[in-house]
Amino acid sequence: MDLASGDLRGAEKKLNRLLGVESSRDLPAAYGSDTALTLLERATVLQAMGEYRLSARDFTAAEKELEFLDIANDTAGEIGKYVFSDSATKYKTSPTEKLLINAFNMINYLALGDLSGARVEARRFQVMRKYLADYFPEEPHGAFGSYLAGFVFEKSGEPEAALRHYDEVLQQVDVPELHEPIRRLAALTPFRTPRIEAVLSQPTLASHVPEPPATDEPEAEEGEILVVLKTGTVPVKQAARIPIGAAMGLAANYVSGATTLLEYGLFKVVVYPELLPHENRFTGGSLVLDGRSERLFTLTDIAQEIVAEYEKVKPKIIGAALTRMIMRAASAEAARAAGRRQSGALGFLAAALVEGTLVAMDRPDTRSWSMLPAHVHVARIPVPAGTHDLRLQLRGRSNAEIIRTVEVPPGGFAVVDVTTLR
Amino acid sequence: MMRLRLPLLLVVASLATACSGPKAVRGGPGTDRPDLDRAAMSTGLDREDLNYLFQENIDRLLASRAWQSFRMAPTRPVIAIWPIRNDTTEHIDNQLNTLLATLESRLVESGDVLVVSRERQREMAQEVGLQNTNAVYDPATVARLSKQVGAQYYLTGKIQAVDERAEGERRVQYTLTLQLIEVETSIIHFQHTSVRTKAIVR
Repeated sequence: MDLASGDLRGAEKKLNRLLGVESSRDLPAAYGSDTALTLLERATVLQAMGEYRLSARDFTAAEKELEFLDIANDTAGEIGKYVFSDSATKYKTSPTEKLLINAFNMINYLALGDLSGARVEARRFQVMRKYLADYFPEEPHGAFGSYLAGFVFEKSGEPEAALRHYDEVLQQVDVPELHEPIRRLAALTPFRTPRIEAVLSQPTLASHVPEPPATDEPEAEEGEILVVLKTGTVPVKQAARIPIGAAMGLAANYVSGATTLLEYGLFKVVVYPELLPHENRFTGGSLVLDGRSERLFTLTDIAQEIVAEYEKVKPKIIGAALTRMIMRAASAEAARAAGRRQSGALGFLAAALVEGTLVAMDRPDTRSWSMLPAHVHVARIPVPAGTHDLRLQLRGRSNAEIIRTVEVPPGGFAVVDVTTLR
Repeated sequence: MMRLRLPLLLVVASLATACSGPKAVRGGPGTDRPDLDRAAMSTGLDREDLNYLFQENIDRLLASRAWQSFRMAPTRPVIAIWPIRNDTTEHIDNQLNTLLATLESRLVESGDVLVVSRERQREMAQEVGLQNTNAVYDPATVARLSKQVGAQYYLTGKIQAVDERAEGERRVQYTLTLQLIEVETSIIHFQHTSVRTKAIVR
């Protein structure tokens, strides 16, 4: 789906057609192999349109379906995957994508001012992050989700939970803007890690005297604005071809079956899904609040995380494609042997027909969450309660300006969320 | 020709039947599918679970010593009901609000206490800018607002969850805790916790 022109309504309509529904108010009646993925795409588009309630509902529905997929055997799909094609199975999200579902949904609830709903997503993020950390301890994930979860718990008056999540952020990237909230929270809880100790040991500026954390108490007049800018989209998968020899070099450890059969096959290249970078129009931005420049911090390079994650599994994917080629070659040889009993020409034709049919059915799985933003930039700005003018200049191959008027309640917060999707 | 067509039609008809899409059905008491509500669809809390969790708490509350003393009291005490804090991993705030309405009805019907309209409480929270904020769960704020609406006691609580995933399974253990607290002294006169577990297993 090309969003270069920024036609979000058009994208929404296309996605609704794919889901078989009349409008975004509707959820699909049944879930096919791509439904959960299409819902994720629609949720992302709806969030970019500022339709936060509908987006939240879509993310939740998609997540529930994907959770069942993770747990279910998906027996029929697995069989189809082995013999024919990766795309025969239902779409499953990668660890990075799993964590981003809850992170993006936290934005929906924060933008709606629904702290209770945001806490639910923060806790879901926490559960998924712990699960992934247990199985992939060497791969820290989800700095963006941890940042938002920390914010949610900080605003909910749960200092220890907030500090734990901010510490997760520090494990991946140092965000100077978090130092001040960390100092304030550390005054309320004994929770410490070497990273938090390091922040606390740094000298504070005179203007950064630790204050009690912002609460929802009416007497607290100062509020806060959280700006979240999501630019571009991640690389998408496209079918790529690689000679069998090169493929064997990359994926020999993941191939099963008699590789000698590949010599008899008609096809000498392996078709597999490859990530191709997206030409993004916007890559960052700058921020002016009430006439004063504020720093936007690039918190997460989702595109890079997706590429790194994919590169790790690519040998397995190419190996699976090679294994399917071997099975096709074996089927073709069986057909050739059966045909030869009648004539040599018939044997060749039968083999070619079987292999050709199976190749036609074998489509590489190029599905991915294509509207996932490539970069996330954040800013936290303490402000007096009241009305504020915010200007966001988008930068990249193109330039654009977004102007918002932001209302900050006394002692509360406001979230400004901008998604470019291009 | 007919011999060929008839089996073909049968195959097409059976395929059409097999491929027929989902349809809406009616279930629950008084229908031909009385057990429809009983099946668990997810690890979330459905009406069955919430009814169970609430029912047990309400039954215990009405049988408690504190409630007995209300019945014996010369004047009926005034009780305010505040939102139950959702500390779970499920979006159940709407269901909790529905059940608070049920709780309100049960207390009013008991005739043992006077209940402050939750609508009035909501208005008051709105007046002081606390609606949709976290302050409606803060004990000090709740006590202050309860006093302002003339309540001697308030009912509050929270629903929590221990949510765990392991290879191929997910289990969520829910606990609903209900508390009856005296506004002036913050003494807890009643507290009970009911539990329910939901899981997705293979």
